[in-house]
Amino acid sequence: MIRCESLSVSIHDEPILRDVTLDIAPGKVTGLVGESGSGKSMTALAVMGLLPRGANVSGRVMMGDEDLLRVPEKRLCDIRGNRIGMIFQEPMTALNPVKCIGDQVAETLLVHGKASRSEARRIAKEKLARVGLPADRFPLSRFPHELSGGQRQRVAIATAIALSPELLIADEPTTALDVTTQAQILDLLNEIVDETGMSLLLITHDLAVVAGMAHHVAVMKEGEIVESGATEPLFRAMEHPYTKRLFAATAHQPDRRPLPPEDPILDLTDVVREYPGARRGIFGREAPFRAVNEVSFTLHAGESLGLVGESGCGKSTLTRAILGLEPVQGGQIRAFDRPVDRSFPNALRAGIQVVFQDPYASFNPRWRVERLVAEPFHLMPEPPSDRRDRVAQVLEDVGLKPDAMDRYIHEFSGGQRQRIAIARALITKPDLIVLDEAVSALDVSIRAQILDLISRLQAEHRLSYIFISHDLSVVRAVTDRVLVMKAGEIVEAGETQAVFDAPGHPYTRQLIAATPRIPEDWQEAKHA
Amino acid sequence: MKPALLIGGALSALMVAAALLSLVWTPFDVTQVDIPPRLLPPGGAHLLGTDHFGRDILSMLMTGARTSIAVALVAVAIGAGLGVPLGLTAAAYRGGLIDEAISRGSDLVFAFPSLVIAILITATFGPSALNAIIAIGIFNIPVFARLTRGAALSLWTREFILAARTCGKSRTRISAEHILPNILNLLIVQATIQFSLGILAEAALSYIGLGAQPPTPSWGRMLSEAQTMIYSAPRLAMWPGLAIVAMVLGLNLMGDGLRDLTDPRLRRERG
Repeated sequence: MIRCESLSVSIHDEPILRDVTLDIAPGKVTGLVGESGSGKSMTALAVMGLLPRGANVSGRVMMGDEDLLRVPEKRLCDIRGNRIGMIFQEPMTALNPVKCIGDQVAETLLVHGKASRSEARRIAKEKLARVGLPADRFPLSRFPHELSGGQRQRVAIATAIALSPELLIADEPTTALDVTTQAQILDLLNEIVDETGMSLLLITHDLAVVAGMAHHVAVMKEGEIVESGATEPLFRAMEHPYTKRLFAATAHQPDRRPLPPEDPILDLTDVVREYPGARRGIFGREAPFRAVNEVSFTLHAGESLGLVGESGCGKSTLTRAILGLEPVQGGQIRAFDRPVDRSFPNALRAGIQVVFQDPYASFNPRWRVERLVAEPFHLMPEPPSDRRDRVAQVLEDVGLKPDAMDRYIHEFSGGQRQRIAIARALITKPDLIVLDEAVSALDVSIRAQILDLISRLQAEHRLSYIFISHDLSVVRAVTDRVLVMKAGEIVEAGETQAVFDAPGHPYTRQLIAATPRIPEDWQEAKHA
Repeated sequence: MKPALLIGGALSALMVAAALLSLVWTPFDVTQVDIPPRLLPPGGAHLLGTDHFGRDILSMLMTGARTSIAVALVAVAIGAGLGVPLGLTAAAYRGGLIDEAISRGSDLVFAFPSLVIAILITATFGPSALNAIIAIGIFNIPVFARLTRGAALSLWTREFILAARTCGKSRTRISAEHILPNILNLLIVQATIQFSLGILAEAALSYIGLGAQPPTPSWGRMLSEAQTMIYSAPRLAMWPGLAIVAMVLGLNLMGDGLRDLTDPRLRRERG
């Protein structure tokens, strides 16, 4: 049993955690939900005794009858990895890239002097088998880069449970993973909790994940726990307004009406995109890798088309081909009745704009917003003379004040940056905007606002969207038609509602089944 | 203003000012050999004393600064002027033949011990400050090319570059508008390091007699001449040594300060 009592943390006099009291019951899953900056991860770090320098802590973190905030560092080192294990969001950076997976797992055992070298290897093999990486298929000598994201997270879990800790802290363990992989990892964590009686502190921003996994839930906002309790009653009751808001944002459906169909503006016929194979010998090459295989579809003006699929399915490659950034090896992409290739005129190119996923990497940090937003004017034969006015107008269009244009991008939050990205896409008055995972990196409440914004803009400017996402619920909320992509091919296409209600292809069914959701009857109780 | 930038700037400015002043005025004529007042201690008319030929050390330091700074500055300009565009080009056409040629070319130049080649060049074309500049400059090219290419490569995968490409901008334009400003901080730091190394290289070449030729003083030549008297008059070596240390230190501090100043994210925090 671990108990945080009135835990408060401030860093440089700025309060980060306020009076957090949290019980982590043995053998149970405790969910800690909140948006970025709410203090979820900081709570975990406080329990681990890993707070950053300059942090000022008060309260108690009791493990048995020991206060972890007051024991010496040497004792904490005994506890970390031994009695408390932790896994992180990004399994690639959490593993040491130059250590094979066997050594990675064995290290924990060796550090704590719990086993001889050969014994540690034996236990490592056992634990890796437990997490679904049996040695006959995944030898201990494999390196992290030879594994997929889900397999890496399995290695991280094996490392964390190597010493059978009493508590496992999982900080957004599946956020970086695809839905089907996420479902498998969550199942694995559940099984381990059942088998070993370990406690699991599951930190996530995703209410649906918590609903399906946790026995207890605590909802965090701005460093405080605003509501906590057993999962089902909490979801049914939702007493705190913030919990309600969070829930509403998760299930948010922007108010949109499909526009009447018009002429096609984008047409793909049997598009093939291949990458050359790896070099073998001096002249030889392996067979080329086909990232996009004979993809065909048509997009009409004013239409919103979803493209869903898991990482590596070829959606981003297809996007780059549509934007004319990469050549295709077969088939044809036509936009506005002209083939998209080197000869595609800039004036038409201005009609297709894009918004990327990462609001932090999408902007040159050394430019001011005015210049950033005006960059697509490069496509115009001559830049407009009223550049500042035009920038001010699109900034207002996306809900920002025009004085934003004189500032640098680091002065804005993630949601504001994504608004600026949309402003940049709007400035040339395009007909089509490609939204490449444009809301995936945002918190749920911000995501709801951005979804509203793009729905409003679509109606106002008669825009067409290609909405690329791995998040089925978002695609369902904002698209008219959807394409499901797997391994470079479109396996299912149709009206969004129809596809989600009655998926035809097994893969679509698998995707829908793997998507975590809050049980329907819990929500009905709330609406009643 | 950061203290590093202030101190670095002051030290560098002092040296440059001394070098410029020596163009029009020095306390004594550095070419004037006057045996009776030789090896005078600091103080009196000769502020830093005189050397074994009776020349005023302060005057020699001032004139020497001119040679040393000019050599290092031009060498950095050659290195950055050719190396940075080469690196940007290599990164823009990464994985292709141009990239391969530029990268392997850099490796080739790197593979030669630079001082030995500098000696070869000055030995072939005659020892002079100009040949020293060219020799040191050539070896600065791959330093800048490689640094630029490496830093630019990681930027080319970023989404804001993709965004610029969707705006139909050419590789050259993206390199100039997006890549270069974002690696400028690295280049400034590298330039100050290369400047320091240039001063040291000039000192080394002059020390073995392949740099500035008598009677032109340079810090390296002063060191070399002081070597024979290191036991009887150690201060003869100390003064040019101190001048080199001050210049190099000043430049490095200034480089760090400039790096922070060019970054809008850091600029704001200083408020």
